[in-house]
Amino acid sequence: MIILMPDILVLAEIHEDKDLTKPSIQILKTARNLANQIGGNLISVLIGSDLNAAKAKEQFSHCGVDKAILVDNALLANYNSEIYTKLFIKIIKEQNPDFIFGVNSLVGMDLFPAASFHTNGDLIMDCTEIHLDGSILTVSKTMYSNKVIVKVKFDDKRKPKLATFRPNSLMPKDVSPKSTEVITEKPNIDQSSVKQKIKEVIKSKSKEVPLTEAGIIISGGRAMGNRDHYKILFETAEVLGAAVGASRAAVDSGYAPHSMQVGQTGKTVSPQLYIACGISGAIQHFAGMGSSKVIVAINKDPNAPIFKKCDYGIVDDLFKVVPVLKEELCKLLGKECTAAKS
Amino acid sequence: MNIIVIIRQTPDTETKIKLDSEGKKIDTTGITWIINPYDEFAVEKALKIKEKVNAGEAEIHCSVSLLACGPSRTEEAIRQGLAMGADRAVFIKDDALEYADPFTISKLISSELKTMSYDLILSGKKVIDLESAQIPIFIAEELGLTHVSFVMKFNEIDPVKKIIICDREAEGEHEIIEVQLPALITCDRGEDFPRYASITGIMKAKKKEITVKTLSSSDFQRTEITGMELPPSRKEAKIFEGEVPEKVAALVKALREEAKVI
Repeated sequence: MIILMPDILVLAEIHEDKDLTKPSIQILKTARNLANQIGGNLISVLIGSDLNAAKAKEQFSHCGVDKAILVDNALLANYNSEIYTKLFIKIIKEQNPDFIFGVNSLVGMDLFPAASFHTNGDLIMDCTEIHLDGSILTVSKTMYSNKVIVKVKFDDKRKPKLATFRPNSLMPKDVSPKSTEVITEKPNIDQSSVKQKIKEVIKSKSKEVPLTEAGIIISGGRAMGNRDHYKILFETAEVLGAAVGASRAAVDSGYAPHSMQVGQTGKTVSPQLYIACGISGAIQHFAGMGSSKVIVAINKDPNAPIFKKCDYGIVDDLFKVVPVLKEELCKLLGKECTAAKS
Repeated sequence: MNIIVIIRQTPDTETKIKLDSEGKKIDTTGITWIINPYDEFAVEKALKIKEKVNAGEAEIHCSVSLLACGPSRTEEAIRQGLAMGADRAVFIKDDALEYADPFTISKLISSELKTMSYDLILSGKKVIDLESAQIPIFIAEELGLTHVSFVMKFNEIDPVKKIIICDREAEGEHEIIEVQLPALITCDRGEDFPRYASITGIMKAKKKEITVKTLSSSDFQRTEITGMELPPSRKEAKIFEGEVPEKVAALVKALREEAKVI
């Protein structure tokens, strides 16, 4: 008798330097632990251009991946929903996994709903935890703008079960490395029937940590006063390896681009540490960062609502506090820092 | 040229959320409801396209229809969208849809869309109550439409060649994508400030047609919420006292030794 062990397939994502993203590593390790529990294989898929098989093998191996499938074609350098969906579905059908996991990233948020349609599997998005009890898979996630935590159960009769996870929310146990089998596929891509094409990609000049996967975020609100004042936040962020965010008030005032906005109509983030500078702490802002582990507020208004919802607070002018904070952090972390210019 | 905007009514971000006695769903009494903010951006983007096309030389008439699926209360959101300037609406109405899952909603909306004619379907990039981005993309796949998600703005629209050029955000980058219609686009905020409904807009909205559809079956539900809780509240904040250097030193020490996050 053949007993079919349920396999887990994870869609991995990489940075421009071909390193796996931190949220991908978190999901791969979580999936490894689950695979050990249920006895199936952990398969990972990486879709992109000019992929580095040696680097992939090493990194997937550290995450305990049994088999990695690299889908490599120059046309995959930028995301195209039609092309990516076709390739992803083809691999899912070939591998026939019971579980399909990915990051709730721009790619994951786009690709997983399409995959759920084409596989007739159930999908739950933006999950923060996963529990497996026998064959019953339950996930936790927030709803109503971070105001409620719910447990959602998959229909245990339907396969596959798909879930995307919020970056920085999974805290997996360490895993033992595996000698990953790497398969590189170089598909032919027929563009003739594709209804959309990328005309141009406008790259950002700086090499910042992406906001949604940053472990530490330092954000500025309306009190920043203008665009140039963000410099001190960027300098402090560099010391911490952090990303810089902004409140809606700051974005609406033109001090920061919308791509930096954290909150209800901006990005949802879940860092270990969130430092809010000159941010009052509106509910709309908490809708985007309320699940941060530790929140620090720096604001000169002692009555700002954020002081009721943070872990640590300094009531003072951010322009006095942040330069000193930057220097303290430089000392602590042993980094060379130029004196802050006032 | 027909644009359809899929909208959903969600609790206002400001509203307080309480759980019902069983703790498996929210208590909806006393909730203030709004159009899902991202759907409101989609309505705004649709109205901008309509204005541009109708003012263009091509003598093509563009209209905007709303499509919503939900319990009776959803009508307020539909009226608001009509007051902003949408021309008409289709409303799949059933109070049994109060707690419908994304799959159910996707199925109901796609089956309605199969009976409608459209060149462009817009919706918000996610719904803030379910915290999910899956509904519009699932619908695009069901209808066999190409789709682009998280679009900040439309750079160009050619109603004759039926081409739209989208500006999409991708982790700090922008992708400029040319799309052949018909297509479905999910909308991010971009630089939009959704327009307020004017008094005349509100008056006109009262006369605009809402076609109500009823359900023959709603037995689609697949996933089940088994528990719901309010997030643990944070302990009272530690506010550091003293001069700036002392306060900062105390903060850094606490982050290092107590919270262990740096």
